[in-house]
Amino acid sequence: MVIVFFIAAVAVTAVLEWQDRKLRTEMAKEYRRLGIPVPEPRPGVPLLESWLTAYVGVLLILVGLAATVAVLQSIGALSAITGTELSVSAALYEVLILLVGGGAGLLFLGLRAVRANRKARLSEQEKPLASL
Amino acid sequence: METFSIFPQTMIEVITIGVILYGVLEYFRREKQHREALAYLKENHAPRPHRDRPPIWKLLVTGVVGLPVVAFTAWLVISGASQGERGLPLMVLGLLLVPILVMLGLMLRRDAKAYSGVISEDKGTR
Repeated sequence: MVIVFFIAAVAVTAVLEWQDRKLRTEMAKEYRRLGIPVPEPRPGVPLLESWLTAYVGVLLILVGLAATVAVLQSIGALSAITGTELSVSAALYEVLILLVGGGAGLLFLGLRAVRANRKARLSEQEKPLASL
Repeated sequence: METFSIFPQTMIEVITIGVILYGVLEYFRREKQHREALAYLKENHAPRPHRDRPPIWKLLVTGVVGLPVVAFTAWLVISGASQGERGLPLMVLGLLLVPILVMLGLMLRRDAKAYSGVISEDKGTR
């Protein structure tokens, strides 16, 4: 089931990216037709929120990895105490993978937003220089 | 062989449906926004001014998100401290949440400043 989730997440991200590029091209065409300079794209998320997203991503990865280690250790300990062979269910593995995968996704999105913010700030700083 | 499980399978199914629903709703929201921006551009021959969310809305969202995080961190630290050495992992997790609290505090300060700017503008003090 977790594979279905990852496919859905990747498909949603890809479609939204494709739509974003398509709409931006359409808008730029219209600007050029009217003879108006095309404005720079605004970053979707402010800088502080971008860092927050990236940090939450790191935290989720850490929690996911720590939970995996803790579950495997307790399974081993429980098996030793009870004398029966215990195994981790696929659903639990999926949730742990979901935590780490979700964290990695958030980290990627956060860092991408940080880069977009830096780019926007740099181009804003360059504007007054260009007008001189 | 016994199987050890604490999470229901339905949780992942619910999250998957949520992601797909978000994608569909976001797609149509962006299309609508784009159509409106194009119509404005054709009519006024100028880019549509960016409509940001009202400062009070931003302030409320930051506050509402921040409160549970503050409460959860406080609970982690207090319960970790009361358990002595056994509570060390909880304390570590609580400490890892501190940067989030700092960032939320900075966001709150920024949003409060923006909101107070709007209030003083309304009163004509700026």
